[in-house]
Amino acid sequence: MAMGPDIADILPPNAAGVNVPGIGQDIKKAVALARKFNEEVVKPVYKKIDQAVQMDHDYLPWEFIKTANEWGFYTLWIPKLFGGGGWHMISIYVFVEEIASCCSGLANVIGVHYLGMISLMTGFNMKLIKEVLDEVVRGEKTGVPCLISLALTEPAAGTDVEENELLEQGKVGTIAKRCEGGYRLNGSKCFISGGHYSTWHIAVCYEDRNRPADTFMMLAIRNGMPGFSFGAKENKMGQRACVASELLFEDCFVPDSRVLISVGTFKNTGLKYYDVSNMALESALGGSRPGVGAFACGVARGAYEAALDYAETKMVGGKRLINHQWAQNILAEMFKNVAMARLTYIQAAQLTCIWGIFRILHQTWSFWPLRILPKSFLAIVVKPLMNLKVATNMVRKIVFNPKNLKEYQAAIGWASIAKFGVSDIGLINCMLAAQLMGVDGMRQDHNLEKHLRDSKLLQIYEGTNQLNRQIVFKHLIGRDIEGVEMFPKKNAADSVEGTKISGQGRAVND
Amino acid sequence: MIDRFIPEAHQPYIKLARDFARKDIAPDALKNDVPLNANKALMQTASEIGFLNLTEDYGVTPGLLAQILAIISEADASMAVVIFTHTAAMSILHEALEGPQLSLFQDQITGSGNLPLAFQSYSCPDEIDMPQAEERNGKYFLQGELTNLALVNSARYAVIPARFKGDTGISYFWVDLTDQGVKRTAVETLGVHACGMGDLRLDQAAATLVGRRNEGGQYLDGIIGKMAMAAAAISVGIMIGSLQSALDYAGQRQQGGRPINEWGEVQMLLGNMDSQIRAAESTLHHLCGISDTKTLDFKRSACAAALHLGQMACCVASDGVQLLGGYGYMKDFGQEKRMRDAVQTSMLLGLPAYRKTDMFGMMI
Repeated sequence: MAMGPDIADILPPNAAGVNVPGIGQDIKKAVALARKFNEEVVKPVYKKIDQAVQMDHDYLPWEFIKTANEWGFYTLWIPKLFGGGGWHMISIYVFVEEIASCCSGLANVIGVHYLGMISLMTGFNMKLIKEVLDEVVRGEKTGVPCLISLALTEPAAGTDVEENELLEQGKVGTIAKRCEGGYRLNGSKCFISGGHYSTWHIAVCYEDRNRPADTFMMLAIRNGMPGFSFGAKENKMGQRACVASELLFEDCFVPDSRVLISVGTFKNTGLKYYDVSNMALESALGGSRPGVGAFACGVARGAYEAALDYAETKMVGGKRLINHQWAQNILAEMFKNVAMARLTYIQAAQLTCIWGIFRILHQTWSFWPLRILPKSFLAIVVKPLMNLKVATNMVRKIVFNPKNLKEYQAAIGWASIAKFGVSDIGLINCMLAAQLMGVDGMRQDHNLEKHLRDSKLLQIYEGTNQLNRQIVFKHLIGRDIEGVEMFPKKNAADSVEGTKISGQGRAVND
Repeated sequence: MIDRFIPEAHQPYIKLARDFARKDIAPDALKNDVPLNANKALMQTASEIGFLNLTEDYGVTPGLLAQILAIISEADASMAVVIFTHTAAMSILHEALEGPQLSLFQDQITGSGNLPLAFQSYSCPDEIDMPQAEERNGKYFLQGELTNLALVNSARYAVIPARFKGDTGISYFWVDLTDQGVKRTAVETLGVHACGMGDLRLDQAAATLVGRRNEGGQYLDGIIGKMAMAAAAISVGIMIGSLQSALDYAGQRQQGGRPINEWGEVQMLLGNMDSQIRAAESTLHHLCGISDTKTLDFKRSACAAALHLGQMACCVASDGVQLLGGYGYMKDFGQEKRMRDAVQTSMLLGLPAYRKTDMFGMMI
């Protein structure tokens, strides 16, 4: 029998790293740090940066990026094992909410680097993870920021590349051909957040354009590699501080050592590669979608705070706007929206930490040593082990264990709920604020105008809200109903049949 | 509006509007979408073809005005707001003045090269701080600030509200914006860029009283039904433009191995946009039918339509962006502009939430 949301999907999980002493402290520290950063850095510059990009959309906010690097924001959430600050991952979500309450574009300049980091971790090639994150950590020490981006979207494939079922029928264009010692990469990526100021790019590509889901690859591309170049910077409606880049690959040679995930790297693991690639992609996006929810919660809050400030001083019909009963109730509605938005994305972030992409960091044997042992000990004793192939294999066995399917589904499903649910709230709050502020809210010298422009993108990136609803249906609804089909595809006779969602919950194609 | 709603007698105007939208406005709509930009050449063209004379004196009914604005807004809401703003200012003059008095102002407009008039299109008097008026030796002077005047940067003259000290009612004044007591400041806005908006600082600025002292409220009341219908029409135009763009894209863009308009969710979104537009057009058609009567019923219906269709346009234009995905958010495709314009034009005639409480006032 079909059921509503399963309480088991949101019960406090039996894993290390939640509700333990110290996590709350990390969250409080992150919020305090973000507020300090907002006052000292973000507020003085965010409108200037927005206007600078409006005048010249080739402008990049290098000063801000360097300042964020000096504050340590590109390493704080890197595990201590790799030389980072090791702050609990849940604290980055509340951190970006704070920054986004001022400017979601600048929040993304920091946040999208961690999407890059998550993508890097997806294949659990421990040696390569170590190599890239070492450079990020060095970049903080030398004052030369080293950021990571995820290069996923293609000009002809947006939604297609975010869902394996669609990918099978999609027209992908970034193809890696096997050659001596590695791969030759050709194609292009577009709308890549942070591309132009990142040093590393985790490029999603395919060995066979006719079987993309079965030949899915992730490669680590570094600036300066022959054949790799930057293309145009997009001219966007909002979130202008965070560049949307075009990345071009023309016979770009990528050595085997830079392969994060490929069919070849999963040979003899006993895992079906289609499932691995599906999980890898969904896990990466499942890690960042609660982050989009956090951005959106910040936007919803920023709109609320703008409206509240306005209502306190504005006179309407001979009295202060805030003393009109209808205005009070609109403000209460907006306040409620922020509260519900926060609860939703934090719930999703918790599940991501313990059942999603960060699961490996929340095993009893991994969580406590990483939390307690000093960084120097980890660097000398544990870190060298990451160069061993056995480390990669061991971690992959844990992460891609089919026994954890239901927990994985809860994490992925809730990530999508946070993404589309909260981003809708972000725009709703902006529109409610507009109802209260009228044309004053349309002025660029008020904060609402920018939040309004910024909020729309949150409904589009990391998979459109429409795709995210499909993901929720797939992982949290369809899994319990026999005979449900999704993503119908045309067969040779031009009839339509969908992918069956089995009672076990795994998408099956055969 | 869809042709079936347009009476035969209006067809020449409609053809003119369509030609103006297609040949003059649409090709440069994106290029003109720059903050603090006012396209005076386009305003000149609008004037030459008579679109700055869309008042009853020239045989233009409120219904025809609405139809013309919907067509122009489909191409670019900025130009529609230019015409809206000028027509609102002119309509105040028509409410207040007759014959030679009116001609005096019209001559000044002609003398300025037929530039459109600035007016406070986005506000109602209850929600703004007004300048103070003073009479000295039969002349009038204004002191204070006035925010959010549409067209203030490109216009030569403005029609603005002010209050005499001790008065509760408002009075309208004609102000030469090049007067030494006038300081203009351009303001960057969310949308409707090619119309332009700004603030005025008046320091003993010379002004001419329009009509009678304290009767500004009545003049405004006399035009509110017509202008509310015009605002609703602008929203309809934006919605139609957004749907057309989304339909074109959905037929070409492929995902999952087929055009996206073959996916059920996309069909539902497009169908939802169309159903809202058809309902909006029917509302506007109904208003056209009753617009020649200056009854309270018309005013209530027109104000309700402006509010409702304004909000509807925000949702439709947002869906229009969504259907184009990442491309919809980029400035190269026009959908994001429609969304910004939809939100900004939903503010025409004032604070939306407060206007709803006004609706209650009209009920009783």
